[in-house]
Amino acid sequence: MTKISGAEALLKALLMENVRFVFGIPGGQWIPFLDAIHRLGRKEGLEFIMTRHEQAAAHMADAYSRLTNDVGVCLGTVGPGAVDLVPGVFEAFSESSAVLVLTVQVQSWKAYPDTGSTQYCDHKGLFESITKWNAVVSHWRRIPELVQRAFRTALSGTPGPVHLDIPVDVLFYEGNADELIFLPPENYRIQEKPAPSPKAIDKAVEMILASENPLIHAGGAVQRSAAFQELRDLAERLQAAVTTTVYARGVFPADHPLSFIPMGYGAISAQAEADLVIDLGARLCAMDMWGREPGWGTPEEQKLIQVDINPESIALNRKVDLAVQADVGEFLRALLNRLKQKGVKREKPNKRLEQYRETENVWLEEFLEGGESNAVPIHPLRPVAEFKNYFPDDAIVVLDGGNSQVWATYLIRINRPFSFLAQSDSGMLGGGLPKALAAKLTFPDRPVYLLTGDGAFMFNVQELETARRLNLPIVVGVLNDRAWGMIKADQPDGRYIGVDFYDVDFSQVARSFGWYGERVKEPSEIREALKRAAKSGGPALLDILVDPEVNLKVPDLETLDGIWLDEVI
Amino acid sequence: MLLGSKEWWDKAMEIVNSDEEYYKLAKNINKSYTFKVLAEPENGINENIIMGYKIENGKMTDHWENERPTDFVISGPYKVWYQIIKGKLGPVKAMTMRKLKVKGSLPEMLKYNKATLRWVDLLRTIETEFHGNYE
Repeated sequence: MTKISGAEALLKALLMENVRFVFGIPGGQWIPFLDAIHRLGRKEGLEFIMTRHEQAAAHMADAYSRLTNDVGVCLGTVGPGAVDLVPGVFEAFSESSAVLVLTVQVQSWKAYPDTGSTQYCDHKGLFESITKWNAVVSHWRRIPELVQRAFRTALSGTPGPVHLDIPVDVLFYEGNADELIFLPPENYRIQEKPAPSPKAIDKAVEMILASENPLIHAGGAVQRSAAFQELRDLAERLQAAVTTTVYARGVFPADHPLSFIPMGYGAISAQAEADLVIDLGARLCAMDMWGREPGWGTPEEQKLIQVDINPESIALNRKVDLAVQADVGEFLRALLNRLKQKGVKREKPNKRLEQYRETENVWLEEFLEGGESNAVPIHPLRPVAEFKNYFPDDAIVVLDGGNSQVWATYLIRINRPFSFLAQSDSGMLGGGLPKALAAKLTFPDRPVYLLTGDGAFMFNVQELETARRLNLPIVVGVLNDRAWGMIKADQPDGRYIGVDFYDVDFSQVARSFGWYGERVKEPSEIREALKRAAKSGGPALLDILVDPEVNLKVPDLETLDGIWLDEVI
Repeated sequence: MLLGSKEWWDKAMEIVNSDEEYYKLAKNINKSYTFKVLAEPENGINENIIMGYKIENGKMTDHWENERPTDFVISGPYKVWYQIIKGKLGPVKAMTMRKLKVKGSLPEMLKYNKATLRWVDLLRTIETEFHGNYE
């Protein structure tokens, strides 16, 4: 009789789902699983990617999921290893990313409740509030079933992270292979996505026909449904303005004449004046100005069709006029069919779009000017513009959080799907470098660059070693202002506290990890430095000294503040 | 000078119309505005204070008391106006936080956002006295 260990069973269940990477740091209890990957996994195309901190492993799994619509997998060992995953899993949870978190536990007869084992931690309790679902794998026999359930849950409805905690004895246990049933995904999770009811489509068409100035607001669900062409077809058929959430940038080409920059003044104008909003999977949360005035029209003057696969996301923050529970791709196809049948097609957009564009252009002038600034110290927008202009359209753009993200968000335009990674609802700092590495692993042929502040970069600086070891040729631009710029900008009347750093030369740090590194102090040096970095053939970093004073005056920080501090001050 | 008094508005006109930076930002603006400063009896402000002004080609050309039809109507409690004039609250933040309500074309308002910010900066240079408990 063929025997199979728990570790081998776990690997086999992951291979059934075509998992390509498991990100993490090995621990003693994971040895049988790592050994199974070594013996059996690699030849099936599954690689273990060792990071230097578990947080980075979780960020990498998150990024992999966002770029592929598959499940990203990360692991941490018992106690500290599991705990270290938490920040990355939190981001995956906030950003609705399908991630399978694996932790190994002390022996099942010593856990739940604890009997005093070294490193013991209640992993199930730890991850409960930042995962969609989690479970303890109490027996070897349950491994395939619970892995299947984990994938089903991670990918069902609004995606999200799931967690399995596996006692070490379950991994070591060997039993008869024929006692375990490994099914292909079509035997345990839905393959067809939920479609809208014909009644809902009829009502949507009716509302569209009554509208003079419709707007389509696209969320991450468009990316998860890969309904890019359908979105474009609908926008062009209705000649409707299109805005996206920050997360969903790229689902609609930024250079399309109907596209407005997310959170930009053109987008806000269009959102505020539309008489009908077709919301495709956006929950209208803080980063969408809560779906209410002044960033949107009042519910009395603006009708809302909200489409979401998850009924719990409907009307989360404002009343809807038509709630549709469906996959947004299915909704778009059904709606387009009905509009074609009825011959609904507008030839040109509402005249007001010209005004929104003018508003956007006036607002954007300041960003464009900053992007061309020759000032020394360097204006933070200058490196953003240089990176944007240097890299081709198919580059994957990764932004970390803080002021560098605000500067870059408005200036960098994303024209293709699966080309943009940033944090939105999580407001996380530090995920940039690991996400960029995961992007390069996932798409080795596409250029990948990261723009980050120096504060955010330090959270996962140790992953410089991962990049060198795996030889992942990404280019990082550190917009170095030697401070927590966003927080410093908010502190009153120059009474700065806890926000200033020692001047770290990140190019030297990078070089010590075997990267190409340069410190850049003059705007005119950026372009040539970028060329050298990109041609270095390996990972490369430019430490760009930006003007710390200008970095305190990010346009629109007041707007964001107003949203975040809503009703507080 | 008491907020909203004729003297205060005259001073505002003088400052605004002599500011080159404001003129550069506002030279294409031809709009009229109403400010509604809402009563706060608990703070000694018993009646709404309503005032308006006009910008033509970047210059303030008129101001008045009471209500007239204007392109924009901006309203909010006295406390919010006080905080803005004292520099404790930005006008954009006040709007995004819905402490100030705006009626009128949002695209137009946003288009001239920078001019508005400069205009408010200039008002902050006036030695302003406030009503009621804000004195």
